[in-house]
Amino acid sequence: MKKLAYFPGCAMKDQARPDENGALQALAILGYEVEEIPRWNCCGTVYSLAQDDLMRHVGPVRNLVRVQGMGEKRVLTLCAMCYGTLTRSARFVEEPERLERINAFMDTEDDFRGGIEVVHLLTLLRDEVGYEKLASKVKRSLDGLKVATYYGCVLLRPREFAVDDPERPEVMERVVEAMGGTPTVFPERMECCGAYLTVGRSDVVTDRAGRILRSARGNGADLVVTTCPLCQFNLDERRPAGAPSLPVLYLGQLLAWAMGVDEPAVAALVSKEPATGKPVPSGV
Amino acid sequence: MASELDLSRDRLDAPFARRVEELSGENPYACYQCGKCSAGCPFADYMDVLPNQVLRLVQLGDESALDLSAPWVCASCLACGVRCPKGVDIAKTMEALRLLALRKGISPAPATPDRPCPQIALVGAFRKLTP
Amino acid sequence: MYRLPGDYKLYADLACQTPVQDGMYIAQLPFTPAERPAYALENLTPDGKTLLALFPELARCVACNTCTKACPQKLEVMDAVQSSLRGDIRQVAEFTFDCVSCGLCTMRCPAEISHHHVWQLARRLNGAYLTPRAEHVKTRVEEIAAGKFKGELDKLVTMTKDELVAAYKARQIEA
Ligand code: SF4
Ligand code: SF4
Ligand code: SF4
Ligand code: SF4
Ligand code: SF4
Ligand code: SF4
Repeated sequence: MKKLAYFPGCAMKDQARPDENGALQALAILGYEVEEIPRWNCCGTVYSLAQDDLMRHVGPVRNLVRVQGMGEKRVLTLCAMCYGTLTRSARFVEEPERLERINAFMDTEDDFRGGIEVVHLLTLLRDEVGYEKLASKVKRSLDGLKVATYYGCVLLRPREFAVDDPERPEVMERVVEAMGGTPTVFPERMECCGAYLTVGRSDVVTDRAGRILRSARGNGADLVVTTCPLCQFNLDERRPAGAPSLPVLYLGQLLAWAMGVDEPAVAALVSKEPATGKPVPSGV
Repeated sequence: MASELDLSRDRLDAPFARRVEELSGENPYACYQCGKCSAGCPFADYMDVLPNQVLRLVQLGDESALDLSAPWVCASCLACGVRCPKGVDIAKTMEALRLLALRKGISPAPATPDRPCPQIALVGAFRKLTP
Repeated sequence: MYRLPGDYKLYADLACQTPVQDGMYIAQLPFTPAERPAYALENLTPDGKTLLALFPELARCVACNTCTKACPQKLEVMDAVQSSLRGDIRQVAEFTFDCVSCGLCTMRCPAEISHHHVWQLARRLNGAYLTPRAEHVKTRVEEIAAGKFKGELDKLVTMTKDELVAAYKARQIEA
């Protein structure tokens, strides 16, 4: 078993529970002993883009201090947005003067020394587990399911922090393939769902959700998969009337089901075809 | 917005443009107005002024940029920055405009949630849209 | 609120519990205005959505920990805010059990959260929905209502003072 520090983020403890449940069970099967970091706090969801707004980096950096306190050198996130804030803030405060100021402000904590690597579930699967090993642990192939891989923004932008090529990513597609699914590449897979505009401008997000879902369906998808709880909420809950009803699931849910773990949302999508024993899409 | 063209040198080093540059860390004068950012912005349809035009106003030192709806409609998706041939991260300029407005007491309509929102949405919205 | 000579920190403590020190620079705060929307407990569900719907400003927390530093009860105030954000009502109730609603955290918070009202709601939700019912209390209340102890109570009412004193001295004390 390989030890891995884990930052869940608030969403994983609330509306994205199915993602966390699934991903953690899958990681255990893949040989990881995942340990939640102690007394973590919200990462802030969105990275502050201003030069002088140091206060908004306190949240992410405090979490990195906790990782440091565990004696770990890296930390895993499942949520795309947590990945964005943690990686970018870690880099932002590397600059000595900023680091000094933030450490002086957080006088109840150990000084942050930097050098903590933030990994996202997708990069872990690609770079450490490897697609072959992932495929070897698959008990139930997703064969027959066409999965629209929705990246959204934070995983791919900005370029320096992208988990893959920001214009032609393939990591999520390869993971879907490793599970035996057929990735549906659709143009909107890298386009923003509207993110936090959902709070005050749900009209805009509803338009976006409709466009993304129609494009996914138009390209033949049976479902959409994402790693971002905000994308999931926006695509699912802000779905306009008349938009395709295809389900929007988390990567963790697919991984768990493929590895033989109980996952009702995926189970509902596939039904055994008696002749081949292969799952086939149903009712989409 | 500027009603007449004033192309004096002074305008190309306007204090407002410098303030935006300081806060965003992006040089507004690097932009040569190709419009690629606006072409790829998924939210351009909902903005009063296109992202490249926002930059233009900043270049001209025009403080009316603080009254635009565009920075509040920008979702910080960073699509523009990835595509800009001049490497301008316009999302940072938008953030600087939001912050300058918020610090002056100009804010968009209060962010009362349209419908119940999960914490991930509220945290994001409050961080971008409230002082 | 006070400061001490040569110390940049702004301290917050309860006047009733804090000894005066030399050179202390004190200002007394009567109260911190805090927003508390009306709610009916019986219509609420014990989850994060409830807290956020009534107190959306919780989501403005920047994890600065100023509230924790201000709390005279030495509570982990920031951790309680964080638990609220993730909807862990029971944890919030436990973290804030000793809150005296002084409002000092609220005074210092840059996110302008009305902490103590959130805590009160969390403890109410915890008590009403998440804490196991005390079955023995219910049984005893039913027994009392059914008149099981009526005879003994009636007897007590008619006793003289001396009889009462004697009965009190002879009472059984639970170990
Ligand atoms: S980004 Fe979302 S999930 Fe991550 S910590 Fe912040 S609120 Fe929680
Ligand atoms: S698409 Fe929207 S919610 Fe998803 S990662 Fe991008 S900004 Fe976030
Ligand atoms: S893409 Fe870059 S150079 Fe072109 S208009 Fe936009 S900011 Fe200016
Ligand atoms: S960051 Fe803002 S301006 Fe740039 S593409 Fe996204 S929404 Fe448009
Ligand atoms: S209101 Fe409660 S939590 Fe806040 S400072 Fe006072 S005792 Fe502490
Ligand atoms: S003072 Fe306010 S913003 Fe700071 S940690 Fe406490 S609740 Fe969060």
